[in-house]
Amino acid sequence: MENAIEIKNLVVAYGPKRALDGLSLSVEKGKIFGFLGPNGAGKSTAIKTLLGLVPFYSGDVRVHGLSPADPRARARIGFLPEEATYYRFLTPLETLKFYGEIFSIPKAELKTRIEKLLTLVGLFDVRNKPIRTFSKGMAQKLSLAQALVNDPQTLILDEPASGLDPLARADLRRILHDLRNQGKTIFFSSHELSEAELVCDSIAILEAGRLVLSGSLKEVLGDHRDKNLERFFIETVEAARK
Amino acid sequence: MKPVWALSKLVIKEIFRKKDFYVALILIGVILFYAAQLQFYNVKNIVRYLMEIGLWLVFSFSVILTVTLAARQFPSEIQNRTAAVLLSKPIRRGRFVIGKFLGSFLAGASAFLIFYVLFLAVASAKGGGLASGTAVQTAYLFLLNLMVVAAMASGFSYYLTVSANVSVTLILYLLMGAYGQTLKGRAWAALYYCLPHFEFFDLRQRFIHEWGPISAGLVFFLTCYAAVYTAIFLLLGALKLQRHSL
Repeated sequence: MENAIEIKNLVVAYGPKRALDGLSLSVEKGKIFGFLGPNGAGKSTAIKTLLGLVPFYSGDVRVHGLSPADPRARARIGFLPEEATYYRFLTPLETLKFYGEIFSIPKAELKTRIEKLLTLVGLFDVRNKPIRTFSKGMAQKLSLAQALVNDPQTLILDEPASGLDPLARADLRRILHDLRNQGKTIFFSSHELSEAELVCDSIAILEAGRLVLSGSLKEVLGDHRDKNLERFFIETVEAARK
Repeated sequence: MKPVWALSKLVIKEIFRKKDFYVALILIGVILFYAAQLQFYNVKNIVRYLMEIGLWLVFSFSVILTVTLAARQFPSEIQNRTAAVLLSKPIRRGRFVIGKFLGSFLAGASAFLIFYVLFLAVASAKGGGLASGTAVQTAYLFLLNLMVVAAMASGFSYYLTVSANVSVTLILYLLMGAYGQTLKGRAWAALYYCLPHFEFFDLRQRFIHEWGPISAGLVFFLTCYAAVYTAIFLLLGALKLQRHSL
């Protein structure tokens, strides 16, 4: 099976502090991969590196075989940030049109795709309302729609369930499973472990910039299948800190 | 070039969807209307005073709108966390800098042209001698002036906060416009050659006193002069952004 993401011995330092310290992992194509870790573990730094937002690092990072600095790699990615306030003077329709134009998607194709996406995330009826009137949950739905506007091969989601109510979370899970069934790879960062347990095929646990363990949920839990992921996660992180 | 144009359109939408432009337009309209009503006995060519006030208002508001718009582009992208979303898409950082600048310049230029048409309408209604050649040159050179000042604020926005950038850009703009020529031959001669001379683009006195247009050669030189400074400021911004970790 080919890998959508390959990271080998990645080191990212901010001054004397190493945010990532020799991180190596790979994500198989067509899987939902949970990237877990406590606050400050380095999850966001790893995601930013995958997105080409960190200009200086050592090690090797490949997204679909290309460096993240290469715009062709970024053209295959959709990114949903943990929190973003989109342009408040635009409507959802204009926002998606803007991001579509950044990808140079032809006009007619973009129009059809935007309508589908707005329907998918449940914002079609408010497509012409200014974003400044949106709740946090609605903004998060728009965020998901912008991440899908280029029909990406790989989705990178940073805390995607943040700000969503239980119904919207269930919708998100359904959308992620549908996307996985379409062959898309989903790289999912979270510290909400119940959410990760419900959607992920495989996981990696990060602590202090280092990979503690990774593998399929079955492999990782191994003999600990009687425990839920949250209990297992706490024990694993505490053991890594000792 | 599609991503650059998409970014530019976004900035243009911003200026016309926020209230700053409309506040400036109403202020200019009210002041011009009031000034046009003034009558002083025995004062010849009173329309020149109206033109002086009108052009000053139009130029000042256009510069302020352009500088504030350009200065807040990158910092607000960082603050709202949309910079990471945008730059994770296939747009090169250099194109991001150009798109933000182009949008700020075109937005400022659109605002200026609207103000300028309003001014020309009021001045011509009061019998101002609006020599068309000089009127066009005045507008064209001011657009070059706006281009340089938009590039300056845009380039500085990758180094400075919004308030620091607006202050530094406006202070440099006012100082170079008013005292640029006095720097020559002094201890600050380096500044004379390094900073753009905004006063070169100011044809207001020619326009008001009907001295006629300047030569095409000089207009060409000033176009190149503005293009060089614009490129320098954008390069400074791009160099900083290339090294910026988001």
